[in-house]
Amino acid sequence: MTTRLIVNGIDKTFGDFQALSDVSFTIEPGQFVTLLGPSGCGKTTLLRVIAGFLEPEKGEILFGDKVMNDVPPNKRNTAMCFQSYALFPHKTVYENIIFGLRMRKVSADEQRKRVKEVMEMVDLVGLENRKPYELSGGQQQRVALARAIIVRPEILLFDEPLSNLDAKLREKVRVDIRNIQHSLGITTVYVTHDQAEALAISDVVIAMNKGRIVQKSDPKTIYNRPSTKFVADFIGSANITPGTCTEFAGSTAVVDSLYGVLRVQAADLTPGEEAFLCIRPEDFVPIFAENAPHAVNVVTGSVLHAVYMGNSLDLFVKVNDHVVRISAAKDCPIPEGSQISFTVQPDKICVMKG
Amino acid sequence: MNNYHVKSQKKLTRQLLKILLPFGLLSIIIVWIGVPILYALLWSFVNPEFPWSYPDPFPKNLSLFQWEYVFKYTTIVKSIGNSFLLAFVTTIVCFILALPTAYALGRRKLKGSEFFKIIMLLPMVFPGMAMGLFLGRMLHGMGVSGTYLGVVMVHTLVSLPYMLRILVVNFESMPQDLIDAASNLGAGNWVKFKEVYLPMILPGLVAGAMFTFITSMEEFNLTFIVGAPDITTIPTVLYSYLGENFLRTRASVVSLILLIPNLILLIVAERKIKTEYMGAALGKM
Amino acid sequence: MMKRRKFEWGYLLLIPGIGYIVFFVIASLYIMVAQSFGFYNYTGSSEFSLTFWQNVFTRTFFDDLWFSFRTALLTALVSIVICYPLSLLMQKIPGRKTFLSILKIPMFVPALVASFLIVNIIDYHGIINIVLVKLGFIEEPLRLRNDPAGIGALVVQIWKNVPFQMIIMYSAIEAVRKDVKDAAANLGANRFAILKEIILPITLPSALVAVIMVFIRTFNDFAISKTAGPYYPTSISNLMYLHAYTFGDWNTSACIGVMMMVTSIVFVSFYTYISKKIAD
Repeated sequence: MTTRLIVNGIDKTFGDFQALSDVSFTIEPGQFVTLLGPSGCGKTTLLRVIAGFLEPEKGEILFGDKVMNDVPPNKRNTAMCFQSYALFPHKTVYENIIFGLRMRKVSADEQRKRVKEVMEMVDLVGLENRKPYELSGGQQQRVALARAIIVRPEILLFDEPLSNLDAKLREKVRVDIRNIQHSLGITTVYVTHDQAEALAISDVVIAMNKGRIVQKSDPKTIYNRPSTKFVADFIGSANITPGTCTEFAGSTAVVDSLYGVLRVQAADLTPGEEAFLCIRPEDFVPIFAENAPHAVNVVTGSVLHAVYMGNSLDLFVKVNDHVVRISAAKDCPIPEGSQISFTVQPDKICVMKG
Repeated sequence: MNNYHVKSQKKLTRQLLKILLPFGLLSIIIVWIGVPILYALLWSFVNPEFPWSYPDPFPKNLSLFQWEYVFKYTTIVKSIGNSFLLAFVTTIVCFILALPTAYALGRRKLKGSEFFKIIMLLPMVFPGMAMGLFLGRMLHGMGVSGTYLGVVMVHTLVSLPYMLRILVVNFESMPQDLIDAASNLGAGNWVKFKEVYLPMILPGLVAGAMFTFITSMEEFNLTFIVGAPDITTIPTVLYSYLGENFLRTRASVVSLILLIPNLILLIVAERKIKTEYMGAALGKM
Repeated sequence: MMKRRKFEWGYLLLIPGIGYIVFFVIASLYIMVAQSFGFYNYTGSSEFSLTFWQNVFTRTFFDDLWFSFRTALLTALVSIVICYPLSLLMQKIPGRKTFLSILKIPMFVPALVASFLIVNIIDYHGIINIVLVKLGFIEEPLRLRNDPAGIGALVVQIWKNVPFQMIIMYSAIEAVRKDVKDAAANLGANRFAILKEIILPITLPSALVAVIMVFIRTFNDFAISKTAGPYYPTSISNLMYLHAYTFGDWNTSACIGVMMMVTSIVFVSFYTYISKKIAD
């Protein structure tokens, strides 16, 4: 039942607008993959191409080894959860959920059995005869999910399914979605513009920008080792500085950056080469007199603002006319206007070529 | 290869359909609507010395005789004047009556406003002839039967629902923020009305005026009963040529006289009027 | 205290619009009912009497009532049968805005003019008869105008009411959300299933309203059936008019008016009840 999804060289234009250009990737059976990017990056377009609602100008979509390009949406065994839920307003919860089974001419006995199973799975028991407008947002969302998984699709598709829920519920539902997907083992493509959601939920994150894939990695790598400035900036917050390599020895490079000269653990930099450095705010550690002597990569500046975030104290520090963001411990006694030194480990600095 | 061939053929038929279908539909619509109007035009230009009779598909000779006759020897000029005057006055009266009510229904959250919105449709569903006969009885008793006042009263009654519905939709769609902002910036009631409500009500007023004007222009049943015998409008004149003594050539002239202002208003409506007002006037609940 | 006063002001504002309508509609209704029981006579004595009600149910009354009812029902149903597929087709056609504008024309044509325009076409030497004879379908021109079966009046009514329903149905179908249709396709529904399972049930309420509106307009008609309809039976409005003006019998006319409204109300309630049953 689990299927490998192959997207091969997809181009899609709307008039003059190039929505997707040469998009290729493979999703292994049972993987949970997120398409992440700002609005207009082409992620929803790509999802609609996979579902068959849009025809690409170039390239192929394969489910396993079947080419799906000429297969209409109703013949592709995908199931999609829409951003608006797209529940059938005139049908009850029960009728909504069995719709896909009826279209597949599944026997009535089997229908009943599967509905029971799915209703329990998404915790909707007792709401069978309600109409969608009688449900809360969270319940509607679960009906949409139930309606999709009940057909046992080869590919499960999500189009920003949580964007209409409030923040608290969003966190709970994303765990539910992840658990259900895991237990069913259905290959899943999930579109979102929320980077925290993408990191929390996926096996693999595909970052997109301007119709192209920018990076495809597991959540950890994409956060710690962004390959471009765009990814570093879009996912989490990042301090990004251009730099020039002055020395390279072993696996350590010395880079002259806006924040001063930094030692960086890097695989391949040649002296004279220019690159960008990405340093996450939480990787900067403030130093005080007692741990100062052992520190490398010490940067000094004056604190412009200290913003209390609840779980951390975020400092905006002016270093050589540039603002650096640092996440310090939440009870760190640093007042605005004070001078501060901080350090970053060489292996916590990510080198980006673009 | 084969598969590709089938696919391209399918695409071709689809594209062909895409071109042919609109043309087919267009020709049906033109025949459906254009031919009747064209026929009326032809009839209005028939030269009475060369009658147009079966089986000639077209008249033998055309002349302006009928038009001249209708304008010279019948009361049509007076009726045209009556029709436009009545429509104009009715529109103004409707606006004055509808404005406060539409404001109350559209902006104040009155209890039972849904009920009142249904009540105001009554003149649209009440049988026109019954209303003409029995309301006519009352107006007769009041001594306004056969006067302009009486006819304006009944025209207002049948046109008012259109003006009301459109203005209610108009009032409902005004953003409360804007009005609050005006109050917040220190506008009093009069300034608020003049600077905020009035400009925003203009589109609804134009749409509502158009519909009341048309309704009044084409109103027949009530005018026929209440206006008789002194006040004739274009529809009652037309009826006299269509009823017991059927005068086709004259009827065609009068039909066209009645049709032309409506068609002009339709073109204006298409350009100027928002679809939501169109919907409000046409019975979307 | 302030709040109460505000409320009263709001209701006062309803008087010019709603009050005007309610006053005249109730007045018409009251005089009609009163006259049917012998009051408000123009001449002679006015007193309570049931004689008019005893004499109103004649053969002519039932024939005319049936004629109006049948014409109204057929107009409403035939129009929706034409409009619905047309509205569906229109959704995808390039230049649909222009089509819709042209289609709206008959709606802006006054009833009497519409009647005249169509009468010209279907008359003894109208274009339809000429074409049919030329093509050899018929020997002699057909009598379609003022025909005993009332086809002439029916054609005029359909011509006038199709655009009206078209506007309602087109916007109803257009309003069916695309993502809902996509969801159905995604779950395995083909075009036919989407139509049957999604579009039809969602647009059904609008279709019901469209049918009722056209039914009432046609049922109340006087002018069109008078000019294009048969000489016998005529419309129920015409019978009412005839009794009042030709026979001077206002009381019977009032009885007919009451029966006309009762028929309308009974039909609309019955129809709404049935269609709700079907929808569920």
